[in-house]
Amino acid sequence: MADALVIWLAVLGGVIAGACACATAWLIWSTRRDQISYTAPPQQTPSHMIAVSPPLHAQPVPPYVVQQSQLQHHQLPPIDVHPPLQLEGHYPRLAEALGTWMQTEPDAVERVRIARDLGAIGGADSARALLNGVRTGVLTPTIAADNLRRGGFEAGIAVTAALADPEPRVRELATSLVGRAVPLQRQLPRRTPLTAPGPNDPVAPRASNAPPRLPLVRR
Amino acid sequence: MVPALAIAAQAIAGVCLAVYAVGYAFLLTRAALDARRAQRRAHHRTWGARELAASESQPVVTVIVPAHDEADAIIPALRSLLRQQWHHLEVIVVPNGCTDATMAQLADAYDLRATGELLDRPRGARGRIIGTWRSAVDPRLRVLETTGGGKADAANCALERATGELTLLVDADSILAPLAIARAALPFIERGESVVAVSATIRVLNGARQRPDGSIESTMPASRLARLQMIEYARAFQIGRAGWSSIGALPVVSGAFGMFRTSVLRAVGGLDVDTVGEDLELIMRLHAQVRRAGRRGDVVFLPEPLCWTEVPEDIDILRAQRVRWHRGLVETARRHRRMLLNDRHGAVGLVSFPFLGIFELLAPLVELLGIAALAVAASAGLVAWTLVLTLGLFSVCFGMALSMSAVMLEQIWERGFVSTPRDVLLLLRTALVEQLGHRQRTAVWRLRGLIGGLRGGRATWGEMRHRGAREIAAR
Repeated sequence: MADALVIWLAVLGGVIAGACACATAWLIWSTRRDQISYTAPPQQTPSHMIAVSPPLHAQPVPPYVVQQSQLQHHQLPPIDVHPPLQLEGHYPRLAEALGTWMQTEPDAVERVRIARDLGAIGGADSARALLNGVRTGVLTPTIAADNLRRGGFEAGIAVTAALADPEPRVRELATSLVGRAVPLQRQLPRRTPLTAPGPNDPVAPRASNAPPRLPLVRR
Repeated sequence: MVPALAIAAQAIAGVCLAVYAVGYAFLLTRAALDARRAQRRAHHRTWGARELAASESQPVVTVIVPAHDEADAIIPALRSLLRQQWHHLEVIVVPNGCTDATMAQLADAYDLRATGELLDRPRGARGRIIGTWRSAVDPRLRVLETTGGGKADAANCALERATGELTLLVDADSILAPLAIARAALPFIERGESVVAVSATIRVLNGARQRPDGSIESTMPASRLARLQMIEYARAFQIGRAGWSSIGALPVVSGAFGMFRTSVLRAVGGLDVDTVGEDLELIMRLHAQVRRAGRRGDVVFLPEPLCWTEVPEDIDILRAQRVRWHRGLVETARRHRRMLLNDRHGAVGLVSFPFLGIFELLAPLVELLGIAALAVAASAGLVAWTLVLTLGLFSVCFGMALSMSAVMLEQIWERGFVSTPRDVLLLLRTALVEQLGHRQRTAVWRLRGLIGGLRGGRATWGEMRHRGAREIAAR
């Protein structure tokens, strides 16, 4: 039995020693790779030879403007009918769908990504989805506030409506957003004002004028 | 009778080694998988620490810095704190029972003025406040001078006056990475109320250089003792804590750098003033009380290095530190013994606490007795020398492989942990030296801590000499 144990231990030890050698080899390679990237950057075109303006033959293309007359002849799909180019207008249930997804998404990083998308859409439905996220606790007020600030007029109306929300967290968030001069964190109770001391306040003893210190209670 | 005893000893040694090896292999695998997933997710982030640092809606963070005779280290540490990219910051330094020039250094560097705040403290508090100051140079900095009472009492004193939603506890010799607060606060903001504490990797400051932007560049310390601790720290953070965190059973947040939700920290009563392992005790109490309240309380570990701290280069100071750490572990294990194998405390009670109890608490006893028993048994001819040698070689190879894997993970998280092939070979040699002498030496120290902890009585903190922080300040 002892012999078998010795063989097993020797084999396992050998495998582990091999893994250790591989780790060491990778570490040496990683330091070499770092050195190459720092000491010998790849050769590239000198900066004075890089073109800083577009070539002359490439004329700027004017932006394509959808004419109302074209719409009358049904030449364009109805998706382009809405004059303000808002994604929410094109895809009416998008914000709602994203909001539902955010409520069920278990990964916090993904939820933040969805909140960013909702912030980018920026309409009333998106704002309501973000506020719902705070209400149910899947989104923190910081992230919601950051994304609600990116919204437009309609989002502002949704936020104003949230001032009367029964959920205190949502109400607090809406208050902080509506009164931008009073950010969320300023509403937290402060025991001492965060102001610089006045010139006549007593000064702490410095190294130069410190009186001899009495031995204090030692631990 | 004697051969039966020998077989029993072999069996016990074999089982212990197997559980140890399987346990650490599991933690390493989990840590590596988590690192890979986190790196993949980092590429997909649209909003991270930089955006949070620039956000108008970020919460107030209170940084608490208890300091006892830290004249050499306090100024570089505060400089790294006050240059953090965070708008709503409050820093409270608590010099407690200082007999050196800590207060004078603070007054010189930050032009402290008396604020005339009330000096009252709750009943039962040890330290008495003898002065409250605010910096005229940087009004975010407040100083509460107390008469002593220990690190935990000083931190509690600041916690009583903290206004932040989040509280960061740091040591007075901790140097932070430029975005450390934003990175530590990110899990609280992303995951919401479920996160109660965040810990991060701490690296060795000895021999490190500070870049102009305030970030720290790790370099290989000249001292062998510091290099040994560099490996120990890498293994403890990159394998131990990252592994425990991946299964939701992180039992400790280092006292050198830990961010907490202030309301939860206050609800559990702050830090315990009666133990020298107050960081471990706090997290165990946090797990216990949060579970008891029927709440979810995640303690998150961030594998990226956010804090640098100086380690002792003097053998006597290192010995005192290790004895104190082990004593703290014994005190915490005794206090929270009801959590052991208790399914009410989830993965902490069922997995990490028992593992901590067997492989940390009793490790010195098992290791030293095992070595002695095997040597005696082999000398008496009860066990074959080949088996003893193979067992020893296996143990050394396994320890070295763990150490080099931890170094590899450190290098993956931030390039520059080792910057030349010579550094790698030096660390490989240090990993070997650690297995063939240093580990056994620390086992003896920890055994003293175990005996001291079981005997009871009051432990002392000892002193720490700062060279690295002074060098960084001078540069």
